[in-house]
Amino acid sequence: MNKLFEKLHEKEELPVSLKSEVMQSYDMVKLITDISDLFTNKFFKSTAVFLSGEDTSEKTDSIENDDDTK
Amino acid sequence: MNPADFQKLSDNDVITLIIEKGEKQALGILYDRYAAAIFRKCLAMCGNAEQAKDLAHDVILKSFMSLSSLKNRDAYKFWVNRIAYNICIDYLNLKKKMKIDFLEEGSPENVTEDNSTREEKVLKEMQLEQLEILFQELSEQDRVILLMQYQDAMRIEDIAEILQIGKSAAKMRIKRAKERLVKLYDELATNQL
Repeated sequence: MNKLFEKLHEKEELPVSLKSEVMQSYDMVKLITDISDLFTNKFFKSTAVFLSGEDTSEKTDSIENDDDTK
Repeated sequence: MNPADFQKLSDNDVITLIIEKGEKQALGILYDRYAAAIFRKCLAMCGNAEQAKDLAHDVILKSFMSLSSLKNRDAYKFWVNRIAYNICIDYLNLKKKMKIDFLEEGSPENVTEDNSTREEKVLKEMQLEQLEILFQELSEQDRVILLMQYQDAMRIEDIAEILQIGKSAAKMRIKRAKERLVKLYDELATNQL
């Protein structure tokens, strides 16, 4: 009985285009996931830096460095 | 690694290559091994080749995207089958429908082991062409549960879990589906006389 069910629709051909469609979708979803992960990681990293108070980013707007004040 | 070497690898090795070394070519090997069976399973459940193609696409893609969550990598075949059932059932919206049918059919409390020997006998005598015709006549939920039982030899516990019903209800559902299949077979035989 199992063998009969195993053969169900065995004459139906697998659509040839399916493989390329799956691979394209995989690439697309992987790209979106990677970008999403990148943003998530950046967000968590910057949050962690902010909470630790160790923000080492360059200060660009300080009054000392502003030549126009002279 | 050349394609011939890939063919010799076990599912475990292929999946390890994909996850740990990012070998995209290995995805193609998994596809070649299982896509046809998945497509045919989707076709048996939904009865429409175009829809089966879309469903098979979703099943394979979901399995590829979740490969890292697969603990037993040699069990890919069973795992992807499960994904196929889940996706097809969602598509057919069977979960809700089956619960309604189950209530309509009465309490499953007294359902014991299936002893319907006549049904088993008929099923053994059935020809593939007849089964394919009858499968088109069956309801979607009957098709799904018969595939689980006879194509994949799934345990009652697993069938019950996927369908989100109790074990007794699953047994009852199989029994009823089998009865309906045999009834259709009898009708077909009568018409052919």
